[in-house]
Amino acid sequence: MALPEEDVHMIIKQVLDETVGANATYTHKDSVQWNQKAVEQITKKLVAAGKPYKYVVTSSFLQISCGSGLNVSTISYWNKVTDFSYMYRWEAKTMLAIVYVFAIAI
Amino acid sequence: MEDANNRNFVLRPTPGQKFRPKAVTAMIQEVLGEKLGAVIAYDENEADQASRDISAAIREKLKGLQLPRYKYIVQTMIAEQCGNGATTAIQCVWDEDCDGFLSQRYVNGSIWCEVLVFAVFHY
Repeated sequence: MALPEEDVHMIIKQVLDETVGANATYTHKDSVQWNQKAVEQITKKLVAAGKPYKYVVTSSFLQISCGSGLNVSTISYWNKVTDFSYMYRWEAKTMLAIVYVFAIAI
Repeated sequence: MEDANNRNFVLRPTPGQKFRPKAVTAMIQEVLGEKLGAVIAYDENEADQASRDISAAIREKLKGLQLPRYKYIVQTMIAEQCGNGATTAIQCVWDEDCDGFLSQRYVNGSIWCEVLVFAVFHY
C-alpha cells in the first residue's frame, strides 16, 4: 500500500519548514533554490520509505504580494486503485507553496 | 515486436509507441490557445472551470495518441498576471527510458497558464 496521506503531508510540511521557514522573505533567486532543494528532499524522503512506487513531485512557489488569483487543477488517466495523488498547501508570510505528489504503482 | 498489448511481459514500449514530448507540444499550445485566447481578465470561477477544461481536453488528446500502457498526469495552473514571482520545481523518480514529461506555458496580458504533462509507462 502507498503511504498514508498524513505521512506525505508531514514530510512536505517538515521539508518546507526546514528549507524555507515561515518568516522567509520572497526573492526570486532564493525561491528557485528553495524550491529545488525542497523538491529534492521530499523525493528523498518518499523514496526512503521504501515503497514500490514511481514518484512525481511538483512544487510551485508563488509570491503573495498583490492578491493575485491562482488556480491549480490536475487530471490523471491511471489506475485509481493503485495510484495516488497528494496535494499540500503551505503558506508563509510572503509566499505560497503548492506541492503535488503523485505515486504510481510499478 | 507488434502491439505492446499483445505481449505478455512488457518492459519497454516499442519505438513507435513511446511517448515523445516534442510530438505533443504543438497540440497543447493549440488547446491553450483555443481555451484561453478569448480571456481578457482573470476571474476566479472562470479560471477554475478553464483549468478543468484544459486538463480534460489535453487528457482526451493524449488518449487519442493510442499509446498502450501509458498513464498520464496533467496539471494545469492558471494565475493572474500582476508582477508577482512564481517558480515551479519538478522531480521524478521513474524510468527515464520510457517515461516522459513536458511543460508548456501560455501567457497573455492578464493571465498566465502553465501545463505540466507526465506520461508514465506501466509494465
